[in-house]
Amino acid sequence: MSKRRDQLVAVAAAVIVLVLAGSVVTAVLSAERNGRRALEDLQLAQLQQLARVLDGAFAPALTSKVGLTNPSTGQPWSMVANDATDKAGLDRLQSAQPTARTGYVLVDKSGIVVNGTLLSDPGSVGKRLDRPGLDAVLAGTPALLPASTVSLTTPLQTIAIARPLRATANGPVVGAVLQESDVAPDSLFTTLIAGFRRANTDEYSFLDTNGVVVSSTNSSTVGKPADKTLLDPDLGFHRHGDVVTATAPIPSVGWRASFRQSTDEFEGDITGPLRSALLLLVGVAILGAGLTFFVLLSRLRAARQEQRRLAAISDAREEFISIVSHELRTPATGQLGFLQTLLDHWDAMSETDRRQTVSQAYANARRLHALSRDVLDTASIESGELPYAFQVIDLRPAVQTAVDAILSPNHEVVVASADVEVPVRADPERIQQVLANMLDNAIKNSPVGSRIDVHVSTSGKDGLVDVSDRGLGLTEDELERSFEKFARGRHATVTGTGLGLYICRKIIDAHGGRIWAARRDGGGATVAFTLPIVDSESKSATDASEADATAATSGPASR
Amino acid sequence: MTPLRLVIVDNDQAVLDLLLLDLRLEGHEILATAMDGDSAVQVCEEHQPDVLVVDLRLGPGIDGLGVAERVRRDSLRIVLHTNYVNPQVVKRAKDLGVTVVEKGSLNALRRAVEG
Repeated sequence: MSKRRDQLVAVAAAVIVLVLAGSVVTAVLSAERNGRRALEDLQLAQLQQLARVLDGAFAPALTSKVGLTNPSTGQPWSMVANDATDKAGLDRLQSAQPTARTGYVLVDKSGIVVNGTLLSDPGSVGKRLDRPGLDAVLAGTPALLPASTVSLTTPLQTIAIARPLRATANGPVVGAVLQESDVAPDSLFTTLIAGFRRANTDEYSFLDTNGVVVSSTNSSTVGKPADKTLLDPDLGFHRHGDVVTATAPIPSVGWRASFRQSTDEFEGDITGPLRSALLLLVGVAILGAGLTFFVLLSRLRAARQEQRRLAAISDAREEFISIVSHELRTPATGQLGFLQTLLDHWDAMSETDRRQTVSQAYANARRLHALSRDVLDTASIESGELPYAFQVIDLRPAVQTAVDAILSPNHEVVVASADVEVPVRADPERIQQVLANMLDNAIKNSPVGSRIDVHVSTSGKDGLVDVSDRGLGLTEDELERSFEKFARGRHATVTGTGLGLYICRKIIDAHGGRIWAARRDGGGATVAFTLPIVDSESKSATDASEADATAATSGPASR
Repeated sequence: MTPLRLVIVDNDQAVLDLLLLDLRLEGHEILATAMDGDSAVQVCEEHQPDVLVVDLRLGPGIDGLGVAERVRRDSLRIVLHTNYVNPQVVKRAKDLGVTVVEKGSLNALRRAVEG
């Protein structure tokens, strides 16, 4: 149940981390979107600037007065077929552009060719020039004629700047002068704009009024109808799947400037690092969520364990209080009961009954006293405040004193002591407490009339005391647990706080000794303890060192 | 006061000694005592007492109310004499028609025994 809750909390935390990461991803994507838009705006602005520049170049060419009259004579063109003066004037115009591969052509008001430079076929003079857009020019409007194969000065397609000619300023149109310009991958125009290209798939093109590519950084498209993505009547920036396009008008000539690039390459600059960052972020988020999950889960588990440990301590404390209150209550009510019986039935009772009742009330009072001492001792031991007053004593008389104090005449207690002194450093009162407890346990755990053996001897450098009864003995588990707090005999008739042997162990530990329980051969249990023997030399040494320690309180502690 | 024939059950010898003495001095006849549940059932069936005074906690085996469940009959008054009085115990006892007396007051016990 709690394990599931831990997992849920950890999962929730991981989800929160993922949600946070998700919001960061969203923010980054939004930044990317904004960046992309900025890039689009920038690209379009650049193209529009290019278109404006071109527009600024075409407009004067259409309105220029140069060539509207014969530059050699300053007079209007004669407009007579193959007129030598007109030819000389055209040659002069031509000479201004020595590298041009295309020339000038004069047509009369009906569109009949009357003269020209670099004419591919001299026979074209006298024939009508049937070129799209020329009619509008002959009607009086200068124009940049769209790409056409109807070229007179080159076999290539050409565009042409065509301007109407008038005899007087506001007079009727008498003809037109055309300056052809070839549309070819290696044309001057195309060579000039090639420099715009900066990447692999970017493409700058200029489309004439018919949508034919007049010039392009992608030379293979020159002279051909433009891709339909560039002919969108809606100018501006557009996305067409894997390509992006931008178009801007060149109003003076009705052309459009266009830009085209693969989407990947166009966005590469901005989305490349962003995508790497996003991937990194997503990786970090997943890692973070995973780490959060496991760290939190293990923390929660540890916390839960701690909680269980505290709960166990709390349970033990409650059990302690419950046991103690019950165990204290039993002798208390016993004492009260015997006294009440005595009071209520004094006259009816025999002398023997009275004596018996008083002695039982006394026994209960003693039990109450012993128990309250155990409880207080346990409290002192646990707060580390049980006081000791050490001195060197002989274990033999100490044991005899404890045996003599036994009030139970129902057991045969046999003491066997060593012949020599067994001197140990101990608190005599505490050792009496331990011995009384051991004897009390032996009496409680063995049948009335049975024998209890007590030995005092030496074992190596230790003094050894053991108490053996002929009771039911102890199981393996009880041997282990007898010295734990609240350990109690398995036999229903055995009463106590379960604190006696716990206190004994703590006292013997404090003396630097050892206490244990074992099975007695032939049935019953043996409880024994050892205390280090103090020989006569070390006895005086101990006394001396104690004196030193008292005297040199400021010196380093010696052990 | 009518002298009654009693069986007393408690796993604490000191308590047993006290009840034995006091209830005898009250004029009752103590037919038998027991210190665990199984023996309690046995002596009750054997002696057919008027009143059974039984402790709740009797160590291993059945408890005092378990004994009551086994031996109850119309002519037998059962007194549960215990330190452990709580709502569950009171409920169980009531269902079995058992009188509950908390340890500590001999007067209460004497009254419960006499009914």
